[in-house]
Amino acid sequence: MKTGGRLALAVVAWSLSILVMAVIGSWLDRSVFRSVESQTAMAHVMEAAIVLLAALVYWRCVPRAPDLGRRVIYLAVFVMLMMAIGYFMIDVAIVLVTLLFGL
Amino acid sequence: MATQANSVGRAQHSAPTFTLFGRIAAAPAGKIGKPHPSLHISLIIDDAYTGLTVIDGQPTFGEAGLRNILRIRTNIYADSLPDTVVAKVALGVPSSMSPETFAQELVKRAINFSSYVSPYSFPPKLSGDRMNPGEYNSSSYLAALLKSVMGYVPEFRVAGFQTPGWESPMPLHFFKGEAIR
Repeated sequence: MKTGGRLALAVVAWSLSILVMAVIGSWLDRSVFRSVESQTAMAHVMEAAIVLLAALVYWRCVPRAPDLGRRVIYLAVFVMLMMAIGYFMIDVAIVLVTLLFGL
Repeated sequence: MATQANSVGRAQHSAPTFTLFGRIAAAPAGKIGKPHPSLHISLIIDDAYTGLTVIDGQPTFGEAGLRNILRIRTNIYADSLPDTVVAKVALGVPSSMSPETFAQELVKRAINFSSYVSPYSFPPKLSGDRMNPGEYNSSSYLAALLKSVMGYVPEFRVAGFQTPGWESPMPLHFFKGEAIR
C-alpha cells in the first residue's frame, strides 16, 4: 500500500477509535464506576490515549523527510489536521453517546 | 416529648425539599477538550411521604419509533438519585404556595408535558453556552417546567460549567397536557 493510503487508513482508524473509546467510557461511567473521580480519570485516560495513538500514527505512517524544514512542515500539517479531525470526532462522539445512553 | 424529636413526628412535619443536580452531559467524552463542560440538570424532590422523585428532560433515540428520534421527553423516576453529580443547588419554594403544592404541581406539569413533540437540539457547535433561538434541549425543558409553576426561571450558575438551554425555556404550552401534534 502507498504511503498516502496507509496514512489515510490510519487516520480513519484513529478517528473511529475516539468513538469506540467514548462509547466504552460512557458505558463504564454509567454501569461500573459511577463516581465523579473515576469519570475525571477516564476523561484523562481518553485524552492521553487519543494523543498517544496520534503520535503512533505519525511515527508509523508519516514519511520521513530528508531535510529538517520539510520535517517541521509535515509535523505542523499533521498536528493541525489531527486536531481538526479529533475535535470533530469528539463532537460526533458526544452526539452518539447522548443518543445511546441519554443525558 | 416534642413531636420533632421522634421519627414519626419528623415525618409528619417535614416538608418536601427541592434540589437541582448538575451532571456533565455525555461524560466522559463531554469533558474532553472542553474548558467549561455543559451540565445536564435534574430536579430532585425529596418528600418524606413519597420518597425521592427525579425529573428531567431527555432526548429520544428509537424508543418511540424512528420518526420520533431526537425529540424531548419527560423523564421521571423514583427512589434513586443521579450518579456523578458535580453541582447541587437548593431550589426555594415560591412564596405563593406550600412545598407540598409546589411538589404536586411540578410532578403534574411534568406528566402533562407533551413528550415526543418538540425536536431536541444541541447547542451551536456543541460547545456553545447558549441555544440558537427557537431550539431547545433538556435544560430548556427543566427551565420551562419550573417557569410554568414558579412564574420565573430560577438562577442556576455553577463556576467552571455552562448550562446551555437554561436561558431559553421551552414555550409553556407544552406543559398544558394537550395533544398539540
